[in-house]
Amino acid sequence: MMNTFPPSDYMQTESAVSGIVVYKPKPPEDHDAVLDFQCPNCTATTAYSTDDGGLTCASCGYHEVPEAERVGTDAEQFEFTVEALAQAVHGWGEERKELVCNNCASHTTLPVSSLTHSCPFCGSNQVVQMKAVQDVLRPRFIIPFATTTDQCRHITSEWLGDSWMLPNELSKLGRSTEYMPIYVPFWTFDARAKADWTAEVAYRRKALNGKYYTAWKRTKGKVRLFFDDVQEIGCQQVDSDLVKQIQPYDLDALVNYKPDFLAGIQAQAYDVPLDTAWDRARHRMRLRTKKECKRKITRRHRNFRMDLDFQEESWRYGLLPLYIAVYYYGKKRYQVLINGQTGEIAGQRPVDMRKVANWIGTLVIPALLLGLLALITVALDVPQGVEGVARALFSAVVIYLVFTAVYTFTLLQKANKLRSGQGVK
Amino acid sequence: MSDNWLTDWDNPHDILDCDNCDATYLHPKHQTDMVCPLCGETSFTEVALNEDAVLNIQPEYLVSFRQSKEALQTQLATFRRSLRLPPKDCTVENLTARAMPFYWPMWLVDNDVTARWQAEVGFDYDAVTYQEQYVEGEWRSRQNRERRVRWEQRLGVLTRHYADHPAPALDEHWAILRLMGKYDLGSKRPFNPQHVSDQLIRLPVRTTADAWPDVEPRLLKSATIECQAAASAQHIRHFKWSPQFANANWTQLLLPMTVTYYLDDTGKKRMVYLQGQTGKLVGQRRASMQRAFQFSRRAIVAAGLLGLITAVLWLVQSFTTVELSNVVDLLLTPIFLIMLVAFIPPIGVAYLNNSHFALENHEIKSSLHQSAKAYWEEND
Repeated sequence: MMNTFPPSDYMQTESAVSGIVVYKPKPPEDHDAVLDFQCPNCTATTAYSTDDGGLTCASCGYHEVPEAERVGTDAEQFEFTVEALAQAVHGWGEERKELVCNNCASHTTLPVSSLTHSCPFCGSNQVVQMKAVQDVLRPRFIIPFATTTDQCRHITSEWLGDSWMLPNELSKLGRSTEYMPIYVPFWTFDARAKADWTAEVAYRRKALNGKYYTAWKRTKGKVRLFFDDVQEIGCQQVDSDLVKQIQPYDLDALVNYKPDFLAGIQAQAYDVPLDTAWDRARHRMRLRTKKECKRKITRRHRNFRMDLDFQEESWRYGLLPLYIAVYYYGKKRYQVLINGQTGEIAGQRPVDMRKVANWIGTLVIPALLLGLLALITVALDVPQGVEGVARALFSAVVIYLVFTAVYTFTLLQKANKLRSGQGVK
Repeated sequence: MSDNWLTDWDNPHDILDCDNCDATYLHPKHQTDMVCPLCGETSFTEVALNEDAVLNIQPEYLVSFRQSKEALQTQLATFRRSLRLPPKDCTVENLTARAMPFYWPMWLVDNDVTARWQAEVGFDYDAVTYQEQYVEGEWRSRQNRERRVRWEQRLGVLTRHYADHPAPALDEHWAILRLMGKYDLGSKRPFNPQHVSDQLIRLPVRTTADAWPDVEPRLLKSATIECQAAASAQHIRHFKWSPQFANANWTQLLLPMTVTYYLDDTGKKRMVYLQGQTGKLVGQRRASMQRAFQFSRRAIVAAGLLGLITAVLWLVQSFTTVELSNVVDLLLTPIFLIMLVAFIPPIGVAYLNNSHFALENHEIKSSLHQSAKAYWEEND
């Protein structure tokens, strides 16, 4: 038994039996509801800079690198308790949160999903320590920014100039675009999948009369898979298709949550509840498992059936670094997302349709002229040898035009994907 | 009661020591035909009352007899039947007439306990897990719930009074309980000397100091259960405590038992015990070898007579022309069978007596060697 009793990290708790005092470990200390970040030298507001990876004072140049334990993929995971699932659905409970600035005492209201705030009156940076219904539903882990805004500009410039279909002046926009760093919520899921499948597999058999027929033979098999850290974004405001393009994040860089990383940077709490995110992740897992089962059936098959048991399911909640940039081309607004860790980029890009039309025209018009020439030659009374050449040329032009049509279609599809940001470079 | 419960009776009692097994009894003087319930000895030595602290600790509760006389007779009749060839002395009448109710003691101890404790307590919770099925191009999901246990550290201080914790007052305490079965201690009632003034009472052998090591684990168990309840937990493990005991108060609890006996062929007393509450019977089973031999003798005589008749018939056939060979052949078979049957009872009795002896020896030895911990683990 210990010497100091009770130890300092224990607190008294309710006892159901008189004469017995019960102590339990103290829960992790509750942080202040709102944290203000002030420079210890000059009391000016400090902010986390993604460029130098620390809290920086713009006034006196004070710089401090927040120390947080790197936990990586060993970061704690939680079970799917009935309690956690039910409470995650309720989210943060309130519609908006009223904040009183610790610096200038001004009142502002904040959407409940925002974890950070900059006072519009005095500019002080505040990090809101939301009281989640369950401690596990607070952000526990974070991947700090590893890409600077300069790198973002460079990446964007390259990305905006990497296709001939894009307007020529577009790559210059990358330099002038503002990049907003933001932490978005994410869920990760682990599960062990135990699948048993059955199917009727086709076998070619030779009948007595010498003809071949298909015999269907019932076959069964097993597939065991472990899904490790399947990532699901927990925020509805960010285009999930774009986010998928900039994933995955390297979870080895996970550190324990520290509010310092959020100072002056926007951060969102989850608004995709745990069960919804888990449904999505599970759907991906089961599709992957099904694919794996079907991969084992090398022949034609029918009546495929699979029983899938998920075991050791666990989840984790944290914040991912992301840059959001918006640029205008013409009168249209285009959104760009950059993975704040890997620098992977995704977004919508304008397509210079004149360039595309010129290119298609360059391909089609000479062929059309040649085709026309061939037609005229055939129509005129020309020697038989010349007519044969003209006919052959005409046939070649027709084939060429068919290929050009297919190419044009592909080109237009690509242009459309570029415009909608579907991940085509 | 006055200061000394051993002497303060309406009718005179004396304290007797069995000359054979040294068991000590509080005996109502008017009972003259007393046998030692433990060994069947009839010779006792009166012990002078001294200042023996152990004997002076008076009973606080007793558990009453529940068995009626009819039930007792039925039990004894069943026992007798189970012997197949019981000794002559083993009759229901004898067994009933010799039935002697008596009480045997158990310590009860009250204690104030102060302790620091620590343990891991477990809380049940439900986790959700999924089963999926892909049939005919469609997914079907089923949500299952699994009960799991979350373990958390707890520590604390315990200041409790534990009353009436049982402890053995006899060396053979665990053996008796093992053989006779548990008593329902919930039905105990306050000790009143008038209710037992005519009954033999076995007196404690073990001192309170000897009995204490058996109490401590029970207190630990009670404390573990209470600390689990205090933490509102469903499970507890790795319980440790540093107890300090105070204000120990020792009293006796008297438990009912009936003893009777029968004499085997050699005239040795064979004891039969009945648990006073449940009526469970435990006794030494000895069939009568004398009766077995008697049966054999009769069978051999019968076979001999038949053999004689057969011999006469054979002679008649040999010296006359009368054809008697069929009758002779017919008589030879029963002679052979009777001779065979004649050996069965002695062999059977020898086998039964030996196997019962071995079984009793094993049961008694294993019961005597059984530790208190093992007993409680089996019976809790």
